[in-house]
Amino acid sequence: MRTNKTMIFYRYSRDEVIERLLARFGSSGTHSTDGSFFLEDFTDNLHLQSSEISSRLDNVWSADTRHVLQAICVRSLRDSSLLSVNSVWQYLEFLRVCFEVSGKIYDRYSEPESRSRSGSWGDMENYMLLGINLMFLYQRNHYLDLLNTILKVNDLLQLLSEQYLEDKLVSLLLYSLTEERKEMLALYESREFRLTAG
Amino acid sequence: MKVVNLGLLLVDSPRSKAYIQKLVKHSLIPQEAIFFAKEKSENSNSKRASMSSVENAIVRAFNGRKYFLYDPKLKHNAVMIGNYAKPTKYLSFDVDEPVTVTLEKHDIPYHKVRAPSINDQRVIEAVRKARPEHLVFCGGGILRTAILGAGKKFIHIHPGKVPEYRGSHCIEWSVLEGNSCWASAIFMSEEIDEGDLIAQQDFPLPELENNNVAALYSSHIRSELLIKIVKSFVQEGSFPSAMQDPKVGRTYYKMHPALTNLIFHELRTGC
Repeated sequence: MRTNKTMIFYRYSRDEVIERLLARFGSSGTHSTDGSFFLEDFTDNLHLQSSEISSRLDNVWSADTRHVLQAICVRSLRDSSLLSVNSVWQYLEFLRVCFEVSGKIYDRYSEPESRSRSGSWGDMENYMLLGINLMFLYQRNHYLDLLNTILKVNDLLQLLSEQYLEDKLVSLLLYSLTEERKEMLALYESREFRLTAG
Repeated sequence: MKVVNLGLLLVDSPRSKAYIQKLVKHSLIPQEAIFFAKEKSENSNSKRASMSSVENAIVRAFNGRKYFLYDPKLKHNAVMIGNYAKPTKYLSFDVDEPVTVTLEKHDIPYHKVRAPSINDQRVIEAVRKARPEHLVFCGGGILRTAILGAGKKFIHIHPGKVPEYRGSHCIEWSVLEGNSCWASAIFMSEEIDEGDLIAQQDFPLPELENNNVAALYSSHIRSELLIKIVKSFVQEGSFPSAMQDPKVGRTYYKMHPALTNLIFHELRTGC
């Protein structure tokens, strides 16, 4: 087994922000390895009805980005086969490419062919939900380019979290970071590379 | 020395240095060159002023490619990750010699264009006025419709096997996923790395002495393939081309350092 500086920085950096967020969430030292608790806290507070979720998923190119991503997230938790539906997969891939190319996720997008978008790119919830939905996809197919985007999204959110993170989004970011860390540990261990010093 | 009916669109980068120095070394003198020097856009400050603070922070973070920078204590370390020591392997060219010095040393005519973007009208005009039909692209940004339609054919050497590996950091991606290394010469089109294929070649995996080798190795293998296709062009008088299937393959993006580290580990240990 080997270790190196970059991975120690990664581990230290993520652990530190997770601890800070746990303290803000009010459960320091608990749930640190069980990310699902945080996601349930967030989705329960959305109070989304099944009909509303279906309506959002049927109209991905006319609904707000946040509403579509919330619907994908809540429905995927109940039924992970949603992620193999073409329109859902393509929508997430479209947003992933938008983020990789520009670093921005806008409030609304029209059909990809029109290349039209509107609103702000400052809604942190959009970035968190994109990262989480990509994590659901990664956990199904283990495509490393999905994990690559998740790492970048979470780096951005980590950077912004101290100044701009609203209380209602703390649990969402905790879920995103703990799941990413878990997957990174699994990936490194599968390749006989550890993330701890010494 | 043979003057080849070929132009170069150069920028200040290791890739440009590798291309021009290798061509000269093989007595293949390009007819002329355009040297694009990027300058700051005048309206970038006014754009920033119209953004909200969180939008501004997102733009700054993305443009700065800030990784692991939440904690000020880590800033020094994170900077260190980006400032690799210069490797000694694959220095088949002098990475310290400025592009313009090489051009002047060998009397290659060039036109220097200062602009905020490679798609600026000033660059497009220089491309239009260039005499060669073919220009070798050496980086500096994504070429958009207007410059691609300026009457020249742009040749790009992509460090990956197309159509399977398109986009950025393809050496890293193909090593991580498939343990192989390729370069592909293509004619540029509006869709990234989907243009007609001129030639492609596989190369041995890089030997690593530090983390900067992948970037340097990319310039090295690209310049090797460039020499090969230019020699063939001199003999045949034209470049071969074959269409790619746009439906095959995947577009990759810059690799996060946490994943790049896996490659260094696996190349070093032979896993």
